Amino acid sequence: MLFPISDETLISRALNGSQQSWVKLVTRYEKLVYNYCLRMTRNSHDAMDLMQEAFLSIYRNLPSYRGEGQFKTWMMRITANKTIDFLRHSRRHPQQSLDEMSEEERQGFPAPDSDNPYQVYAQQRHNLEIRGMMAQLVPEQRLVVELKFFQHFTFEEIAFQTGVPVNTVKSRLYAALQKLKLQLEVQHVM
Amino acid sequence: MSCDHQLITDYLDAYIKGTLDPVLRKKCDEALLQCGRCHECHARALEFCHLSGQWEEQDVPSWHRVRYAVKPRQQYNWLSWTALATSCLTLVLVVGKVEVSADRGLMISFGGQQSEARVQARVAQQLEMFRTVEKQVLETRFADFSQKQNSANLLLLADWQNRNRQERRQDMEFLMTSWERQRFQDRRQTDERLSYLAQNQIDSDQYLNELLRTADNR
Repeated sequence: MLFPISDETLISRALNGSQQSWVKLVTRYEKLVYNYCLRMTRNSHDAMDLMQEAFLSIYRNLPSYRGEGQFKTWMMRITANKTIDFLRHSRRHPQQSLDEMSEEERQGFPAPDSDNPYQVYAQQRHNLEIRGMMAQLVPEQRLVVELKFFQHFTFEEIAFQTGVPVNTVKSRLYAALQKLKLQLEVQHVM
Repeated sequence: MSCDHQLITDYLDAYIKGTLDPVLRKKCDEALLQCGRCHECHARALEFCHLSGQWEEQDVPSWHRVRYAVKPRQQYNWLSWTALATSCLTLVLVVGKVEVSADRGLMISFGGQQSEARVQARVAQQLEMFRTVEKQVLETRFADFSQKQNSANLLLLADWQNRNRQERRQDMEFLMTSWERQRFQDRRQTDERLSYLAQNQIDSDQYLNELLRTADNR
């Protein structure tokens, strides 16, 4: 298609019962949300569950979206709320220690589309390092780091998505960087 | 110089992006030089910016994009709308006293008119039945009464004839008795007269005989 259909048009059609429009909208953002969930949960199964819960919540709240801001910001706010709930629930009911490597992590990620084994290994290694570092942060700090460094939202947008004041967001980011410092230093020593 | 880290906390992002105005940028430069924690924070932020760029986007495993959202919603909508429509219909039927009948074709009435008409028809039918039964009872009673009246009339007539006959018999007996008494009296008078005549005759005969004998004797 020469001109992609706007989010608002797809939302309007989805609200009128068009499953195809909803699938297009999900397809447009699912990779973003899935990788976000992957970094936040450190486990692909949890990431899938969280992503599905997020999209379910987005769909149910779709009638309340009034197009005042970007759909991506609104969608990520719902995803952030779901993520916080998910992480709090996971912290209360731990099934796997964050320090422990999951079976998936020991075996490595599914191979990306590359024929170079070293390149594949390097990419997987980078992702594992990032997820390992993110796992050291408390959920609120992890969320701020994710939204700031990976989603590149402004502090105001992060404050809108997390529902806390801008100064709190900045403080959380500073504290998260303090905490990440130790992790990075340990990795550099190793 | 003590640092409360507030400057770097507030402007670290803008400092890294290079969007700070020169005055604030200079203050941040000084803070980063003087405060070790702020300096390390800045360095880690830069490292993390670099590291985040190395994230290899993972493909989403295959999943059902509609099952988790659209389908339950459609079921929910269908069920809720059906339930709402049924409730409203029931409410209208109850409040409006709507009645549907198929006795004489399809009839829909409001306000209980149909039941009222049905009650009236039922009452009329019962009245008609009552009227018929009462008419039969009255006819039977009239027939019985007429029959009894005829019987009574016949009995009265027979009694009257009987009485009349007795009266005439009594009259006849009285007449006969009177006639016989009169005849008896007449006969007795006749007998008396005949006796008297016979006595007179006897006396006359005796007188004549006497005379004759006297005459003979003479």
